Amino acid sequence: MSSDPTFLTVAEASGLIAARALSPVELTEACLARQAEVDDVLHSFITPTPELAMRQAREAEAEIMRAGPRGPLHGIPYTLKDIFETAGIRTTGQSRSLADYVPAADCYVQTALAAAGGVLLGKTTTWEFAHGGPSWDVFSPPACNPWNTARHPAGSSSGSAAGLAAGLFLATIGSDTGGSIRQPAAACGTAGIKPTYGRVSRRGVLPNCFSHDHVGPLAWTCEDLAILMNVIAGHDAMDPGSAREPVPADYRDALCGDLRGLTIGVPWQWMDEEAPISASNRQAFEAALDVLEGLGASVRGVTLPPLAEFNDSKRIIAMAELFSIHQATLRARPDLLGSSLRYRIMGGALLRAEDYVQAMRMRANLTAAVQQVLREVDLLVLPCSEPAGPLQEGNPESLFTALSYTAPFNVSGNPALSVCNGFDADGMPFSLQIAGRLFDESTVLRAGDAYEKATSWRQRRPDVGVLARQAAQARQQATTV
Amino acid sequence: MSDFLSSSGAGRKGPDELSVLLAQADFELPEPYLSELRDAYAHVQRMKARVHRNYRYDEEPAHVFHPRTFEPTGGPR
Repeated sequence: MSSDPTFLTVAEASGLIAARALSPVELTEACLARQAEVDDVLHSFITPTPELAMRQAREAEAEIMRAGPRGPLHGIPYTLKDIFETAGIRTTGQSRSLADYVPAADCYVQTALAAAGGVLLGKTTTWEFAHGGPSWDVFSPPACNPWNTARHPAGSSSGSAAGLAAGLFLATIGSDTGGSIRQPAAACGTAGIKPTYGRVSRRGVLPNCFSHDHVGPLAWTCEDLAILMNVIAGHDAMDPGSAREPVPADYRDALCGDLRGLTIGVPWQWMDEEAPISASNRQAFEAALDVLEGLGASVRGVTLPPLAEFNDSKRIIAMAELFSIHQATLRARPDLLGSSLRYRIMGGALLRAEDYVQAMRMRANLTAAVQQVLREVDLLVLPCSEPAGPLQEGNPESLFTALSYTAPFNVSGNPALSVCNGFDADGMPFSLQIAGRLFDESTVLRAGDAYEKATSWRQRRPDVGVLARQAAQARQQATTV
Repeated sequence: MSDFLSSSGAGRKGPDELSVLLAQADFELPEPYLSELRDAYAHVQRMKARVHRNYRYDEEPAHVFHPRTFEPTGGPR
């Protein structure tokens, strides 16, 4: 267990809080101190809420002293991606078009987390409307990767993953339309799960693409993800996409530490032919397969439809829905939208209703194909992405051409997790993606948890001393200017 | 197969198709936004062509409509 309270897991911190060995006020102060120390370079927050956080921490402490904790999130500092609406707190979506938007009501997940006694530290940096980045022509600067601030943290839940890895908070909630939880988790070496479509309510979340938007948690470990899922999963009658499926009493019950009896499928043709991975990433992935086999799983190759079909279907649908959401702003004030988002939205103007419906027919076929393969195996594994590259403006063409390993599970709706899979020669995290059957987040988390416990990757954190020195330099430069 | 029955319009229309599509969308774009859209156009066309298949009549899209989902629940939506 870390002696630095900001590097405790939620499970560890909640145990100490319950034992009255750690105060929620001290924990929140430590997180706020880390934020003050490094966020001038990390840029993980758009809107910090320190006064609210300290008030909630004091209230949590008083209640815990009086009556004990409500549960494992009581007194735990967390954040929300800045597309989650929060009553009385600015919610910008990282867009200049919503610079002054202050919602009147909380989104579903904020209501749930507040009821569990969490301490809201603020709203974290995202790509504009969770779509396309990094960009410098939006509301605030993009987040950096805490392992190397010259690298990107991926997106769109970029500030969530970056701040979590650097100990600015212990838990966070993101959204995932094509990989926006899993890819930043992968880039920053955290855990992050995109639950099944409909498992967690999207009520009060600024939409990206209605039919592919998922809400889910990021945390340092899969055990922490299970704790967060216990609070946010379940049916919400006010989200039309919310599923009426039973929710486990406690997702932690599945975390047994081994994978005996499970069969894992690997879609080798995606990695060998369609979108080849680097030699170092492949080496790390094959080493992970050995670990999974050592934990008792059997591993075999499977054939899924071409990766390009998932990406084509998703992009056509996403552009059409994105255009329907933002066309009024695009017509009236295109200057209020960043170029990356604008480029993608405008593509939606070129689509006809027929294109959208045909892409939805393709989605139905692709989804059926994934479920068929998942009758034969319990889980699918593959990397999420390559380790993070330079922090620079993305090539607009890549919005249409890059093949994503994460988007297929937004198309099919299956739960998919990213866990840290070691580090490359530059010290940047590799990732392991684990996808499972519909509404079976438990088995996905079981595999991720067993893998984490069988490896040493959870012992390493970004060097906050380096981040602090860089942030001090940034402050000095700002003062000089 | 005649053009009327073709399942995909990709590659059939002339060089001003972008203008036609923009007019149909009631969408007027000044520069530099129009140039951005021209850059995106070729990529969108290729993706459109790939999602058009010879689907059977009964191949439903991934739309399912549950009218009860939209019943008022008593709280603000």
